[in-house]
Amino acid sequence: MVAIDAGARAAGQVAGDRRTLARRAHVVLGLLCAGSMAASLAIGPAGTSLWGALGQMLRGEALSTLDAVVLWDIRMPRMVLGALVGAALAVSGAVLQGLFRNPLADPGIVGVSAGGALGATGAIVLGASLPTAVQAVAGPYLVPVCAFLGAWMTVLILYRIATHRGRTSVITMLLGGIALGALAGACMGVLVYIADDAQLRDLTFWGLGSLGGATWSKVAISGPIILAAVLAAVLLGRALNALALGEAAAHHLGVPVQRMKTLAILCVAAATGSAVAVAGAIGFIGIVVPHLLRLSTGPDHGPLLINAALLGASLLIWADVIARLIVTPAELPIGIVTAILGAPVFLWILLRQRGSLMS
Amino acid sequence: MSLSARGITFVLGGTTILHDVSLAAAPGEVTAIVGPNGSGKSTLLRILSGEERATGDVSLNGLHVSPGNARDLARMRGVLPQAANMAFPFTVIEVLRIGQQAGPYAGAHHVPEEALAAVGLGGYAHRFYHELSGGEQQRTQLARVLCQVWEPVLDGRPSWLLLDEPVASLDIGHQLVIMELARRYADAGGGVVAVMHDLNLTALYADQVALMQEGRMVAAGAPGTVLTDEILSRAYGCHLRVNVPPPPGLPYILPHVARLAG
Repeated sequence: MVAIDAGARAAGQVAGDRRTLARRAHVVLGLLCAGSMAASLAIGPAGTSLWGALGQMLRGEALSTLDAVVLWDIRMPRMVLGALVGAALAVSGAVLQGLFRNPLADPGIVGVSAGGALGATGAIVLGASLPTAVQAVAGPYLVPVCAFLGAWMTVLILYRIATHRGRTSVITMLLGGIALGALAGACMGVLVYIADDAQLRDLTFWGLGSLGGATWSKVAISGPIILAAVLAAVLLGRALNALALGEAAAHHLGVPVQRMKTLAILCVAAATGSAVAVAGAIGFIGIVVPHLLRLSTGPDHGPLLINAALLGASLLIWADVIARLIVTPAELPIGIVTAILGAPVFLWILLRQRGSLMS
Repeated sequence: MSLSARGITFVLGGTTILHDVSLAAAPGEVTAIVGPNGSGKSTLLRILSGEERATGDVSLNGLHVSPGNARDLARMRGVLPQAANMAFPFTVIEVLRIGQQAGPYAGAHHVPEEALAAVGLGGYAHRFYHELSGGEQQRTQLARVLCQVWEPVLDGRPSWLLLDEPVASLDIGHQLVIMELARRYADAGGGVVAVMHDLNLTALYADQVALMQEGRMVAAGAPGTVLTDEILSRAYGCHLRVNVPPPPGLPYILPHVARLAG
């Protein structure tokens, strides 16, 4: 607090107002994100040097085919997809926490990712038995659309279960999330059971949670959805702040509560669903990023959502760098890396909240 | 330019909470809604704020009050709830900003600090809301509401404060601070509607008293005409005697606890 106060006073502001701090964080995290992107392009098992390639391009020399492929077709889409998925998960987490008015809500923990995964699995296994005409129209969009629908249904059901007359029960939310996640997992088990060999291979590659299969076509499919959902979520900032006072107070403050909740749920479903569709289930980004930001720059959702997108992107890019370096030449599923980083943070939040959860 | 409710009937789960209730509050006045527990005071306030839908008609400054008008209503009236938990660790100044951004004073930098001073919380801006005492939280919320409707009259139109038991968790000194604040807001041309428990504070500060009993409006008018032995004893189900001391001549109420009305 001392450092925060000093920073605020230096900016000629009221003590305790962390807006300036949160806005400065935009710059810091923006730079971190850019740096992470560059690092992700520069680091990899192939001997391609980003700086060497940049120098070549500046001198007007053509890149070797290998360097061009490594940089342009392997590392670049992977970096972009990592940034998109990280931003999507962090913003989904922040919006979900604002909606449930609790910092423990995370798309992975409360089953939203599992719902999305069930949708995607269903699309992979059952999509082949759809009429050819439908397959031709739906094409590569079938998996993300089904993942979105699965995530959407899960948030809707979870909200119905956990929120009664404008009050959300944390216990009901967490237990309901566990039940929904287990149900989705069981349904996925059934789908895996009836899948044929080719589908099983698809499922395995996808389900490990990895950016290894990143391609420009995946970026093209998920990118616009994630960007739209993140931008829409950022516009919800003020309404989510009002909602922190409760639904009635949010109404008194002029927020069209029902419409706003519908939009928030759609944003979470679209962002989480698309992220799951292209990268599998990746946990804990949605809880770690907003929590660290609230601790350091305050809970104002306006700057928080922007900062969450930037930090989420950076964190997932680094998790991916770790995932592909640590067991070279193989790759660790990225979900393992985020869980190792994120689960302790979740437990830490739980310990801090213990008092209020017991009562 | 008033806050009026006509023919309000509200049914919840098969029980009729309010029966054909009407109320007219004028700007420049403090209107107190009083009555025993469960008489429907807070429900009426929720309907006046547009939070609940009921049959009948509510209008604020000529605008129909309904959940669909939330944004326009928020620029003319603020609502103080009985108690409010903040979901995240906001500081006091950040709580006030939430109110400020909902009203027409989003760019007025002086408003939050003046509002804090008005509720006796100068110097509390940097404190975390969840670390404050109940009374301090209550006053922070009132300051948050003031930031939303800071000017009692804006562009010739009165602003409104709807207060649900504004002094419930406060000590006697702060009760007076808050009621004085409400009084000054009304004197400056704003409208104040407050659900009150304390009949003596009501007698001290209200221009109009609306007395409710079992979901009905049983009496409304100046404190002297509503706060009488007979009316109060019937509404509260116990013998009450309204006493008027020698000057300054304000009524005060003493309960006679030994004799419950049969």
